[in-house]
Amino acid sequence: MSASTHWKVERVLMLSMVPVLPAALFIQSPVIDHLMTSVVFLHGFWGMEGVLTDYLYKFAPWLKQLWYTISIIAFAGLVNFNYNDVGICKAVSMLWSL
Amino acid sequence: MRAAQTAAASASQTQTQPRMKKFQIYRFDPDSPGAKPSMQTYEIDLNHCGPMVLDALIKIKTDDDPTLTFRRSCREGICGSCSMNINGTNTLACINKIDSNTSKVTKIYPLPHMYVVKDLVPDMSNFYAQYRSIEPFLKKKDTGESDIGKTQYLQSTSDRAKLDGLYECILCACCSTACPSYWWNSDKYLGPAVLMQAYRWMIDSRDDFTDERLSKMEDKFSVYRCHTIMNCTKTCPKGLNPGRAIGEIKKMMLDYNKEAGAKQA
Amino acid sequence: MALLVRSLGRGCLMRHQPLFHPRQNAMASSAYDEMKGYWDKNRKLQRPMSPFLFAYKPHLAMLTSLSHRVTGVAMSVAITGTSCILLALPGDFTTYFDMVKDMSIPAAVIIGFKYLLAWPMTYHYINGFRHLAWDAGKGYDIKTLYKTGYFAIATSFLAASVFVFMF
Repeated sequence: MSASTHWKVERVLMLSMVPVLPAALFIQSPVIDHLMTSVVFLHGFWGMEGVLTDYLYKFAPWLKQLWYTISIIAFAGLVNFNYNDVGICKAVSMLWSL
Repeated sequence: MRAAQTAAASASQTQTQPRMKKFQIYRFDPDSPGAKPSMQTYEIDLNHCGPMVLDALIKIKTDDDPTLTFRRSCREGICGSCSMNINGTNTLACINKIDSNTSKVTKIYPLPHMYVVKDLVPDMSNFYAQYRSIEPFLKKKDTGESDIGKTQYLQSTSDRAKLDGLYECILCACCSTACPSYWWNSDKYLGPAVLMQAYRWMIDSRDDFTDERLSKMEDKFSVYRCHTIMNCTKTCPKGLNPGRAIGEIKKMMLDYNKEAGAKQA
Repeated sequence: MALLVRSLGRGCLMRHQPLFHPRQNAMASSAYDEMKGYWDKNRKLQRPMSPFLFAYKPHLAMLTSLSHRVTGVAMSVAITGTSCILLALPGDFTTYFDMVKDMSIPAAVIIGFKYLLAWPMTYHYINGFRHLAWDAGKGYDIKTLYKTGYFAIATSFLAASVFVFMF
């Protein structure tokens, strides 16, 4: 997609995160888990892409493929965590009970 | 005779004490073999110097070290020649008051992350080439060479007001060289000064090529390396707001006529 | 001289380029060539680069922006890293959690760890509003910038404290 479309999609995603993140604090459900995972992950992926484009891609262009690969594996891990394990909202509340 | 002598003696005693101020200035001599940049300290009496940093630099060059090299011209903040980094901030030396606190040293560096030609003189040719690349002149459609000068291009007061805060830029490069994104990517990112001028032509009601100007920015680097760090607006010695102009460009990029813009050859 | 250049332009350039003012196209291509030549020339002359990181005086706008980036990268790396590690390790989250629980870590360390998790999140989220306002075209003047900057820093610490001590 064109650069301006990419910028628009990034902002739309950010706007969607504004209600989702506080919702995750108060509502514990698999829907929120999946929603949180998707938006946070995508936002972080594009954010890191921007950082890497600024500093590193001109020296090591292969980092782009590396970041893609690591991100896909991480996303798979998060989805697996939500399905087969406690889910991220529960995990955070467990951590907080320490 | 004795009265005159005592009068002279008491006059010299009531003379003001010299206010010695230290200036630590970046030096680089390209003509000496194996040259490396260094800092050199000069001391001048503020009682015999004008109030601005440029006055101090000229005084040092005249009285102390004629090899000190820097750009200067108008001495009134309108030409943009004497832009440099003074005490950590990019500004014009001719309108930057010397800090009269003599216990502090004034540090002077050239504009950050620029190739240094000599002392405080950076190589500005990339900056100027980027400015040329945005075509900073009026472009009209359906106008041949013979039509130029035939009629006035009228503009309403409100349309002219849109150019306020944009046309006053003196291209001193203080903002662009203060931008960390421009430090890392000055080959492909245009920088705040050039982008503000691009915006100035985009919103000029007399210009017909707005869509084409916007479509030239459709890549990851020209505009979108701006992450709203806002060093530019903070440092502008003319009080302009390049950060806001870039924000407006990004907004304009969302809903312009993309097909019309892309049609340019 | 100008007439000669103009006639040359009209003769040579327009033949190869579509309907475009020849002066404009010539300017655009030579600007690009100048940009390319700049890097070669300066590298050849081995000119030094003027100081930037340590010569520039830090101020609030720069520091808030830097913190926004640092917290974002830190959280992204943490989430990606944790996810990959959990994927690789055998067993589920509860077993590891119980292991950590049994280690009886002192309360001060737990509180520090909670701040480390909470503050980047609150700061990045609250500063994110400043970014969204800028993207909408608001809040660009220096006064507002500083006011919102101080507000973001203060509320992020406040919110993080609320999360650490009241949840």
